[in-house]
Amino acid sequence: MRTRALLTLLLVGALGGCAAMSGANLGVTPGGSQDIGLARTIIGDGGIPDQSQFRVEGLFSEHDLPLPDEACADLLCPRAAATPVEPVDDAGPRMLVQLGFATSVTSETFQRQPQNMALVVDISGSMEGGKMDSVQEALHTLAGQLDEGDHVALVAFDSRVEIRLSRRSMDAAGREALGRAIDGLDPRGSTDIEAGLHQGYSLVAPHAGADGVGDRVMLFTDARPNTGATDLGSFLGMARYYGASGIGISVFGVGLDLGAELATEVSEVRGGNSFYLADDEAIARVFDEEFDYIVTPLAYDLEVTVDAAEGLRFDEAFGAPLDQPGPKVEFGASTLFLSARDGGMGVTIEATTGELPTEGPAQLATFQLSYLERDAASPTTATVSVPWQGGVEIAGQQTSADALGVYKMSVLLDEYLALTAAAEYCDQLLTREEALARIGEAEVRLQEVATHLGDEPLEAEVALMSQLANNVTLEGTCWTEEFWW
Amino acid sequence: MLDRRVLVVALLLLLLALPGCTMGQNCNSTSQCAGQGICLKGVCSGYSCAGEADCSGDYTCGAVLDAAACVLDCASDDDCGGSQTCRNIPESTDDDSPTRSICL
Repeated sequence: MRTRALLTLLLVGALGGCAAMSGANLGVTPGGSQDIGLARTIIGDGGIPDQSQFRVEGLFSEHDLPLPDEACADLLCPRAAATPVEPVDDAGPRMLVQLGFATSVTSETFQRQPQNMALVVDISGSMEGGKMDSVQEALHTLAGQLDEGDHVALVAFDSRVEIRLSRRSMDAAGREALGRAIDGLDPRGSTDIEAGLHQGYSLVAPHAGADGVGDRVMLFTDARPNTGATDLGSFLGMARYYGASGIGISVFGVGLDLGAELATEVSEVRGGNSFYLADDEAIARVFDEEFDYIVTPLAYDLEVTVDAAEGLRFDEAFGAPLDQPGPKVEFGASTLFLSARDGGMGVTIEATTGELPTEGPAQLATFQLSYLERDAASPTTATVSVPWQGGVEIAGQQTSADALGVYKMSVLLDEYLALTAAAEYCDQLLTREEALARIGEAEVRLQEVATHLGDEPLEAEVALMSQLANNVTLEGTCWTEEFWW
Repeated sequence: MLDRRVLVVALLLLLLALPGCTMGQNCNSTSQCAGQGICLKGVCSGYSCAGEADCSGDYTCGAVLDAAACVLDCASDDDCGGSQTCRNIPESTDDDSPTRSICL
């Protein structure tokens, strides 16, 4: 209730007394990896990414996956839509269900909360050159988004930790001081992420928990923290402990050494998300266009149990990063963030006896949801019926999908499976021909949907698949663990 | 007389310079917290432990999402100091982990 009250206040304030809300409704996306920028960079360089270097939720998060168009008057309104699929990994026929959330928050009325934030920057020797340039550009862009309501500190670390800017208001003088501190970042020495992170939390934590203020540590690094350790002095231990207290973490990676283990671990932390700063375009997108959203978690601890219809069963969830699912929970997400795009998780349902429905309407499942809205004292529960209506007309063409989002998600899932096939070829789990067959099929399906919708981001995925097929054909470099260590 | 004044001033400066707050005590900044503690919402917190001997006062050594930390059990927000609140947190990331209500 406190969340709704807070958002209502923000909305009313922004409206300046107007009675009606306006602007496009924003979307909701699970936390964790928010792009597959690292895999894109590797493929662009002629290589083949390892499975640890891309996450399906990252791919989904890069695309707008519109949910069924129903009015939403609440902070979160769960929505589901289905389509039959036959994934390129030869798993056989499935029903793919997109579970997403609509929100009543609109782009014109939304105002992000003031932030109590520490920017923790890796200045170790490996950051020399382009990486540090990228981070400095990102930080300057970020600084341009701040105002006097925000309180920010800047911590630089190599083997030592230095507070380069004490926590202060980001009024004009504060932003100027932050700019000077950013310009003064100079790579040297070795890396001690944990020490830098500890300092960052130590600056944010004393002021955390204030009503209407977001608490967050932002880590900029090219290194891979030791994600195996979970003690309170480790990266993951700190992220979890302070995440549980409401202090989120955003990780911004640069360079090719990053692994998705980091994204995986961050995705499982309450309030966690991660981004790869591949180039100027990515920096502009993250800090110019999406900054307000990536610091705005709406809910935590989404847990979903699936009650499949007779003759069907839950198969697998895609893009559902959850740290500690309960014993009867099939999937979920540790955090749901506000987003410029509609997002969601993919769930496949298979037949146990007989066949999947071939025409709609047919009942597929019932999802039981539990999630904790930000600042709420107790969880919200919801029941979502998952039928397949038999498909709807999309962009002037009858499809077997019930909504645009799941229509696009079906080919993005194929793309993810094609990326996986390429990695499995590198691991000698698939032959080159088998991998190329899956990549080729994914490319054809992506092209079909991209052309039908005139969807430019999907066109870019077609080009990525084409490049990946080329790399596999030419025996491009496999980015295995051995290679980057 | 002068020596005594110098001594008193030096002692006062020393007291001010040393972190004076142990776990669970109120704080305004992390520099006030002894050891590796962090001032979390007005309370020196975030102390790792290997056993009960590492924790003091009402704090006990417990698991918080796989990390061993000195924690203060609670039944409601009223049991917590500073602006900390009583939160129900899993002890580990295992699927069937028990939860524990602690001040965070």
